[in-house]
Amino acid sequence: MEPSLTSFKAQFRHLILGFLWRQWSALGVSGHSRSGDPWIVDPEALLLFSTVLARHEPRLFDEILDWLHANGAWINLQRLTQLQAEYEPGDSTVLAAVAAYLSHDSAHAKWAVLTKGAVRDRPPTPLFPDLPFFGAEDPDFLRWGFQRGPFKLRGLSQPPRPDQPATFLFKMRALFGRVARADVMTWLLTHDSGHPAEIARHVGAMPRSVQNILNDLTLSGHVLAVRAGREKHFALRHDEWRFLLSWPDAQDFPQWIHWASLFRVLRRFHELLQRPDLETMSPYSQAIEIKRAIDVATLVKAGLPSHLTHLPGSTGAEFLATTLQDLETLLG
Amino acid sequence: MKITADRLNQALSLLAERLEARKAQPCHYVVCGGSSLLALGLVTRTTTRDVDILANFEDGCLTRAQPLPFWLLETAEDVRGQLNLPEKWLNAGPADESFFRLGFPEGIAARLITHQFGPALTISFISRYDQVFFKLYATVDQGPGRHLQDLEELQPTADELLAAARWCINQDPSEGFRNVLAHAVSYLGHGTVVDQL
Repeated sequence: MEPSLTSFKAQFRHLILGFLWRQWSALGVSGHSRSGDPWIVDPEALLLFSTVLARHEPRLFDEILDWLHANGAWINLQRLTQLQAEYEPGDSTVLAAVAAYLSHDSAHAKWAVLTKGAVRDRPPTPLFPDLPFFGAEDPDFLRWGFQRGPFKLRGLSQPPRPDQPATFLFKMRALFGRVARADVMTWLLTHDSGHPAEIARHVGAMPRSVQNILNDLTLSGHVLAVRAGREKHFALRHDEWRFLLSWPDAQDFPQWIHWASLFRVLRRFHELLQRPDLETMSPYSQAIEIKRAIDVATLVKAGLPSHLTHLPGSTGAEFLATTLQDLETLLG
Repeated sequence: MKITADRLNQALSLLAERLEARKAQPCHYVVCGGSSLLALGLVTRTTTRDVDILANFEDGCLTRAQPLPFWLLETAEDVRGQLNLPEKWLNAGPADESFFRLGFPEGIAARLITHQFGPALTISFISRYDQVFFKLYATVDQGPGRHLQDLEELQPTADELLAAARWCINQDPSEGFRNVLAHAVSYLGHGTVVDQL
């Protein structure tokens, strides 16, 4: 049966929240979700996207805060800023509130940088829009225009386990430092080859820095530079690095997905579903709006399976059903 | 896929809904051709290939529609995707510059039959009388076939054909065109009209 827009919205949110729980659980957030995804979790993109969507799941939002309190040092703040500026997968004000809270702890003082430039003078609204708010307000969040009860640290979060594909980036950061070099190495291990601008776009770093990192890496003798026309491409011999595949039945390096661009699409899609005028549109018109929001070209460019390109095949109410199926294939 | 009368109505309604959703400025187009015949039920044929925009309609006057704005074509493409319509289902093919230079049939604006598809889209279909003019011109210009068939079904009177033929000659005064026009008018059973041209 074809879903109504109301049930479509509910199913989409259920899918997204399940997906977010799974990703954060893989990183060490206390939770119940299984984790067996073949891809690498991008912690910066995930955190940004969570500032929008996790507001619909207060328990997850607080577990993320808990995780950041314990593991926030693994987040690359420069990259976080760069990804938000370029793709806007998150909400800068929610991020500023989170950063303000974290920066009380001297171990996370650097997070205060994220509070600069964020908009703060707006009338208070509930941080968790689906939850009735009453009682005392958390002063950190209120300062950023969000009403919520005082946050209580549970301290149940764990550091990312290195024996799974999801945390491969953390493993690399542990080996190469919490800097762009680790991310560039991860990208090279998950691709045949690439040129600096392409790699910079994917890892969310400045092209010039990536160029310098790649030039340095070639001096090790383990990263190769090959001229392809006017471009210089970089690659490494994957077999030399297979010792990094430390999880059971590991066949290959995990999948790199350009999460920032994917989350931008999903954020836009989420915002579309919140629009009240969508309810009054005909199913065909709804399908057109959804098709515009789910930009297939971006999804494919992000590295998603090509079967998602079947999205445009159906129309009207049937399109909602196939879109759900495709999103379930991707996120389910 | 060809466009039936129901599909035409559905397509123009969805186009209007989409234009409203994207807060487009209200637009008013004059439509001729098969879709106009279909919308007004003037012929027995049941399908058309496209919607031919002849002109914009502004302040009671027909004005140039070519080129159609990008936002309209983009919206029409969205509609095509949903309703499985032919490519370029909405076009300004007949909006020939010469019509504006040499003139439309006199009084065409007063005879338009207007359908409001929503606040953002109004379509005025040309009348049966004006269809005779355009179909006669198209029959002579492009050769017999669909246009002649439509013209026969419109069953123009001798007076209508005379007025239409005079307008056609004004559009193309060449000797060759005039000869073919005479043949067409005779074929339609009004050979006496030829002597009055």
